[in-house]
Amino acid sequence: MGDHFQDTGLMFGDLLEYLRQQGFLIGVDSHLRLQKVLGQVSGSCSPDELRTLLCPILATDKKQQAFFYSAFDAYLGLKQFEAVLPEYAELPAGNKDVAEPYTIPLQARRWPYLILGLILAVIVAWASYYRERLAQFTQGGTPAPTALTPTPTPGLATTLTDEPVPELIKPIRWLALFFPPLFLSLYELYLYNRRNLLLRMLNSSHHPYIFPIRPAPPSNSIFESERFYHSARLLKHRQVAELHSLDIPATVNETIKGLGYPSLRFKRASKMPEYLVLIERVAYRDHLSRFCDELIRALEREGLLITRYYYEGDPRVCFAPAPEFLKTNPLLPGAETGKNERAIPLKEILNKHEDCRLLIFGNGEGLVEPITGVKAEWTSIFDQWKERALLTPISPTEWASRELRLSSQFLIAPATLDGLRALVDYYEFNELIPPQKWPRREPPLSLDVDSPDILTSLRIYLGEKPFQWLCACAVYPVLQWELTVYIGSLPHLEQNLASELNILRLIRLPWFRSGFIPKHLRRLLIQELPPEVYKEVRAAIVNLMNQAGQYGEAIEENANQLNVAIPRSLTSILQSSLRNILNIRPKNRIFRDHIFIQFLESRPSMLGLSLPAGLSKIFYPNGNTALRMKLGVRILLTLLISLTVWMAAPQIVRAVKTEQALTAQIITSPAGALPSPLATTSPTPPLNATPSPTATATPVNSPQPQPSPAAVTSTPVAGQTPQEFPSPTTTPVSSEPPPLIIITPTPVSAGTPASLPQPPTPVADGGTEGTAPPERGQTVPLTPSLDTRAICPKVRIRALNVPSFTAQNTISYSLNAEATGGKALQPSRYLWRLSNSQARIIVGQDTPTVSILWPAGNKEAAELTVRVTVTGYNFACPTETSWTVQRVPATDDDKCCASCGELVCCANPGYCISCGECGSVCCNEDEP
Amino acid sequence: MAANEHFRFYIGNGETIDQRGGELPPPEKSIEDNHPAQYIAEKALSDAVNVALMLSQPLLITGEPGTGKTQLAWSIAYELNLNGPLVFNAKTTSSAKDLFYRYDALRHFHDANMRQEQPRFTADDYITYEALGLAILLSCRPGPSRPHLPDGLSGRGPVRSVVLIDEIDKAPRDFPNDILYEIEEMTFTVNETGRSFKVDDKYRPFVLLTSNSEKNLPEAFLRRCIFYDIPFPDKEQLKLIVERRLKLSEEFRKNMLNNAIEHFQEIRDLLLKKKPATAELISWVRVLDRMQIDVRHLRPGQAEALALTYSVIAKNKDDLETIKSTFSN
Repeated sequence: MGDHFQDTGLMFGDLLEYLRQQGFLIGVDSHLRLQKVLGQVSGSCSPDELRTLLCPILATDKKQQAFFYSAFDAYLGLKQFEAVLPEYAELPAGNKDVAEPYTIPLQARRWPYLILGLILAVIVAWASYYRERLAQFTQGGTPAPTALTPTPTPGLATTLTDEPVPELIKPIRWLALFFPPLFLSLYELYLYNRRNLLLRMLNSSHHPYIFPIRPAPPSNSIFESERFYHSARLLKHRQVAELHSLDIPATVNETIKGLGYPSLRFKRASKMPEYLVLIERVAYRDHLSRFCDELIRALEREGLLITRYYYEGDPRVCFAPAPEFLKTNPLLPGAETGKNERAIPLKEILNKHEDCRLLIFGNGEGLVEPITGVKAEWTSIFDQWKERALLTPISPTEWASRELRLSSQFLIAPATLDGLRALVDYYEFNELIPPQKWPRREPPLSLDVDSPDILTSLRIYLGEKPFQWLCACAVYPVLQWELTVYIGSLPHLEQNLASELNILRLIRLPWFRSGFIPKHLRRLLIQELPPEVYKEVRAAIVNLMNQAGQYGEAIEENANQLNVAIPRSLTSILQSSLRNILNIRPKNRIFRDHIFIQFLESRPSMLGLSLPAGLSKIFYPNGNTALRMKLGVRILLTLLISLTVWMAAPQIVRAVKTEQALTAQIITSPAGALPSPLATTSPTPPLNATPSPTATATPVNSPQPQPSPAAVTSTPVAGQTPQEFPSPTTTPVSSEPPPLIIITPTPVSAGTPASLPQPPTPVADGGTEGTAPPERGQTVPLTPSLDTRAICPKVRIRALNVPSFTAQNTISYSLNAEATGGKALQPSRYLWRLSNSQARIIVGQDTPTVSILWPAGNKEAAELTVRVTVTGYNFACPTETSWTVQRVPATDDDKCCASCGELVCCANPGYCISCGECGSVCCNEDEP
Repeated sequence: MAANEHFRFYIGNGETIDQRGGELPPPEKSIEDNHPAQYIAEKALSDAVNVALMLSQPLLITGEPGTGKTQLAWSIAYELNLNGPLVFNAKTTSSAKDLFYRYDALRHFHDANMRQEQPRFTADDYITYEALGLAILLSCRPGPSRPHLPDGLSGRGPVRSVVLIDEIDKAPRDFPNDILYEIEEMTFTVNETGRSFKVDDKYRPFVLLTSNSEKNLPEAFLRRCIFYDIPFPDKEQLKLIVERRLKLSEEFRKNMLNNAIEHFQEIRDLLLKKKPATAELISWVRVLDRMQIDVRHLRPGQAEALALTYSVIAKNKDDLETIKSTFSN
């Protein structure tokens, strides 16, 4: 069972517990009566029929009756749901409305997602297919028509590898054309469905499920004091009723005294005093109204008979309070407008409660003419009540002519415990304190919100600790009574801060009447808050949200101002929503509380603002970032994505090629056997040969003797030495489709002459095989280059797969590095998350292949430089490190060029290479 | 006299009905048949009654005026062959004692002083047992231990009765609190005589309380009650109620009744100070039947007559104006 319907072990025990939390009068007797009824009707009626049998036991008024029916339907729906779908048996209550149509709507709603999954599968299959094609293309799909490329030029290799393959660009561009709009369409379809659900929710006649987020009530009530209890006790004193009855003992006595002459004596009956309370409410979150409300509730708990009504400015129209269990989230439609409250004319109230004592909690502004300030004529209606009082939340310090004028009709007193005491004195002893004689102890409140000294004024008015309380209240975007009291009881603030005096001072501030503090003032106030208090307040609020629903045992009736509501209609549509209802975990199922969502999702900014208002209005409806982007913006973004992919298609192809090459080289890097032609060829080109296909040499007696134009154009320029590589710009480039970086092995045909010289065997001790890196675990410090504020990580090269000995001019390497914290840098992915910002790793200037420039005069060693650049949004941290790579000494297995004696290593069987010195060809005729 | 003016008996011009050649018909009961057999209880209401019977607890009924709260007591007594109902109408001056008995102290005093030559009267002679007191006494066998009951009840018993405490919310706040124990234990004591009476559990009375929800009842009292709020009937239920309660002409029942009920529901949907209830509907339909007015197909001259009939429905001037102005066209 979930939180909502807690299993108590009794039949319907969980339902009763839930109802009790909603304000039903559920006690042990309710359980007993229910079990008795169930025992008598068991087996003779269906579960549906129990609805009308159990309701009379548990409901005590019309609204509870309606609420019970809906709650019972939900409960019964769950039970049926559990029976139908055993896999959900562990889930708690649901909704009868959702019990029957579970399957059909759910299946009907699944099709968009099935289609989406299908499309994704097709995309993946398509991508795999083309990837394979690309691999085939790069490995052998493209014929290498050239026979010989005697002069290896790294620049040429680079240029050639940069050229994209047109055949691949076309499908990528088709992808760019169709798939972003397709995804946008699916997304819009999804949104359309969600909108429909929302509309159903709004049109639903059912009340939403409401899950109260309730701060734990403070251990000590604000009014818990001897003064309060004394006043409450005296306010309960019975008063003389209108009813007269014969006083028999007195009559008998008088008759005896009169010698038998009848002398009747009557006595007046007594009755409990009843109070009619009208509470002024400026706004829904008016703290003064809630303060008065709390005072009245405290008196009710002491046994006073009180009938409450609210009015908004003009008491001629009052509102009966809605039952607690029907009060909704303040953010729900109707709550702010008092939709759930019934308007009642004052005359009607007068008819019902004429014999009550009238208490008006309000500042009396609505009782006087707005211009002249004299008492309004219509207020004569209050004369119908014999005892009437006006308890004003305004401090006696600020009482003026209005209070004096109204004192002719009402007993004027402050809405405090002192005011209660004055009431008692008036009712019991007929002692009246005129307004001008009330002690004026409070400092006057005069605030200029725009004044730069506002904080100083507030600090003086409130005092230091209550001022911190005010600052803490500014953390949450709106002011709510329960939250204000809850914050006042946090440990970092002063103990017993939430006293009557402090609360009154605080809530007399104008923002506590409207429920909002202006944003600029909030910012100022939060800045005044010590960091540890700010953290505690923020954590307390989040914690409060997370613990929603866990205070069921100690819920005060009125403490549900932070409700989170989940519409019932959602439950009948989506299985996921149903799960939400069944699980009833508000902390992760919050649909409607926008303030809460905004609060939680806000970036670490003081006020949770993420975009300037101007920009927000451009991108978001009404500038509200909690909503999704505008449709036009979404379409624009989709088109931009399509355009970007379309334009970047060549680069994408090149990137794929590079990755292919890199992958192939990594595979072949371990020393030992060469398992496949792909592995054997690409990473181990012979000495003086570039890894480009132009360096691929077909056998001398190849059936394709005609050299391609590429072969011709890639012939080295006369006079160039292998040490003086031409720059890429000066390298002649073939007009043919450029070959790729990895050489396709050209096996020696069966007709290869056996007389050809045997190629040298591979170098056993490293050589062309990448073995252990020269430096492992070396820490390379990085220095910020663009932004000095950036903090550059230290990159530790964990493994640099560079051979320490090589017989080639060009080597491939892979970088395996990690940053501080152990996050590996993946060169093939280029994206790396570092401290919540994305950094791009550029390895070796985007190519894993580097050329080695053998120093003139020293052909045995060369220095290899690797650059690692960690770039972020606003910084770049480049570094470079160097390794010395030694040239492989000649061994017996190496072949010397027959023409010039230069060392030529042709270790790969079936390969031919050209001598860098004289251009003559050396072939290894061993079987590959 | 015009055909549609056959109901105009009083003209107000000094001309007598004899001079006009007319005749005043005999007075009619406002409702032809108020027999409890005609009462229709919806299933939820009957369930509530059954639960209250099952648990032997009082049933508190609320609902709009005219929805049949009081009539339910007669229906229960009729269907279950119980005695009663014994009715107690709560007043603003009612006290808990009044529910069981009343002691006429003045008469006792008077008799004690003025009729001293006659045999002495005891306090028992001046005690009148009220609804719940009667029901408790009737649950016991007649005998010397049982006080004298009014005529018609003196020899009865033991029987189980239905007790109706009507409009309990009119009573003072103390009233429900004061009867908590008595209504649960079904026992009371006559202070003037010192005698206590307790119900025979086998014949425990069935207590039905009605309330117009004008005042909130204490929680302690509500906890001891079975509760049901009678919703206002829907169209079909209204039609059934009207057909059972009124002997309508065949033509009206077949062709005009549906229209009348629909129009009545439209009127209820208006923003009125006092919404018309079932009782108003019955009266109104009765008038429409007599005048043969089809509210959807008015014949010439009937519009004015229909406007006149709204007086049956509206209970104050503002509501009457609202209804007339809304449906004048």
